[in-house]
Amino acid sequence: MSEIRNLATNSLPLAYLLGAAFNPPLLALPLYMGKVSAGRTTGFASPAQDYEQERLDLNKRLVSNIPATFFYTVGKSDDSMIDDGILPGALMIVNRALTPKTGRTVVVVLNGEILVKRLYSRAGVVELRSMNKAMNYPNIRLNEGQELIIEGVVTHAVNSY
Amino acid sequence: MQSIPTKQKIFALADVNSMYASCEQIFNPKLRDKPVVVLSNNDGCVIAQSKEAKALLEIYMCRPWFELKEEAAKLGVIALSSNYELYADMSNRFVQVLSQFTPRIEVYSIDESFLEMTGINKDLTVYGQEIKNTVKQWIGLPICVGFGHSKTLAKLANHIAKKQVNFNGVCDLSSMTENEVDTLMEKLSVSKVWGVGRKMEEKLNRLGINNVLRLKRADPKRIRDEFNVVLERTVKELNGDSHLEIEETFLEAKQIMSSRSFGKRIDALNELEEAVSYHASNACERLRQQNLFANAITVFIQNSPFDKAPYHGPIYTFGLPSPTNNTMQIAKAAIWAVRKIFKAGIYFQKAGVMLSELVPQAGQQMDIFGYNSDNEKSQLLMKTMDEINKKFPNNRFKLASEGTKKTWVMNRDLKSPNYTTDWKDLPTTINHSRL
Repeated sequence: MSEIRNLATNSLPLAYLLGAAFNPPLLALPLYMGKVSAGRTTGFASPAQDYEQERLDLNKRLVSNIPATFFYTVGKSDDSMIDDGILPGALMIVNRALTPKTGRTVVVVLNGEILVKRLYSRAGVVELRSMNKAMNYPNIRLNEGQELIIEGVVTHAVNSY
Repeated sequence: MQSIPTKQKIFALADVNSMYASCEQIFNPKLRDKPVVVLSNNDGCVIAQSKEAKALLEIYMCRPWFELKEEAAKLGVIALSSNYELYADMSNRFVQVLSQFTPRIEVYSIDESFLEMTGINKDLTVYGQEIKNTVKQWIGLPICVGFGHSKTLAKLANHIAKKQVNFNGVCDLSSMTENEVDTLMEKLSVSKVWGVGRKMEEKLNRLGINNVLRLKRADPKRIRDEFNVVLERTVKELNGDSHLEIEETFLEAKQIMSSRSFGKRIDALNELEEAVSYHASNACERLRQQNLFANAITVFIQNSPFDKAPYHGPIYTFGLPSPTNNTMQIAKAAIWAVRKIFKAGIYFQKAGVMLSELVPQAGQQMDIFGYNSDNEKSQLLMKTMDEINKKFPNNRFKLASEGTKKTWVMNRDLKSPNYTTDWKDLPTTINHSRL
């Protein structure tokens, strides 16, 4: 009996309702489900039913190429890109499949370190630029023969406030 | 070119070079161009090495780590524990990238897949380079691709692509003349052929069949009499006569779950171990019924939402070193996981095991992974176990490990972070100017 009372009064953890499925599908509740019973008629479909939409999914919005997309974190003391809105600690969504064109924000490996920078390439000169006017970090110009590995293009950055 | 039937099939085998070591090198750039070795469970022996490590010492593979430790340190070799979570994620991405190139894929193991290429009207050497370059760019893994008129030939082509530098990672036997193929085959020992093990090689050598070309030209009937139908089929496959089909898999995750509420609340670890061991063995039985192998396991325990205590339902998921359907291996893994998530003082009400990342029976895969070395024997044991349980459903033939206090703790002291599966382990940038 006490269980029944609890059922009515307490909100249950989601995991219980879903039969303890691991990684359950989003419990996206539709606007309305089922039919309205109105008198003797079999019922009207809810007028809202035609407008039912899938719940918005950030993955679909932010990740266009699933296997080629990797997440990176901006280091706690890496304020080199703050003028672009990429703050220390931000989550970056990096697409490796995109061709890194000049002007794009890229994650690179230089001398074994992972960096996020703006890529500039003109007449054979390749430069990595920080975006922080206040600190005026020097641009990194690549010497001939110096190896730069571009890991991927940063398509989005997510800052937490 | 010889006259061949017009509808000859074409297969490709795409295989990641030094899969485990390559995964580690992508996310820790400091390991790139360095000799890296990856160790098996409990850091027992070397199961993978980067090409830089291979160049230093070829004989590392499968040797006990404690024997090599000192020598390796002197040579600057970096050793890591296996990071199955990382390898399983990268393996899934690998298959997803390959699926761009053909609709028919067979996931053969964690680092190799067969692709059906019949009817793809392209210069396959060029197409193979495209596959190779796309995988490299999209997920960072170096691969080799081999093409042939049978799966056995595709596998052989892949071996050639991997070992002979002039092929630049792609070898298409299907477009070569028979003479060209024969010249390549003559230089390879029979052990390079898919499914030919050491014992079989010895016996073949005694019969004078000491290279692949001789095996190709051997009389299939004689091979069947001296060996078995499997090797007879191999001979036919070497002649471009395809007998093995692509065994397609579903790319979407399939799962097998076993869970149940307890009759009473349980707060003792050994009882929980017994429970998850039971569920592991139950889930495994169903796995074998479907001829599937699991790449990952999830273990969960929870208290009752009706109890007064706050809800507690830890879940633990991790990748297995290679696809398995062996009850003993999976039960061991489940027990290890439940120990990890167990918390004293909580009255648990339910436990379960879920197997996921399921792939179909892999057939001829040999013991690449340390823990699979008794594969044939354990398959037989599992089969017997299933048969007994079918006959005597009320007296389950089960593992002695269920509920005992055997210590089985996987030691992974040298494991790298879960770069792709854990928010707190993501690769992180540094501020170059502040170094």
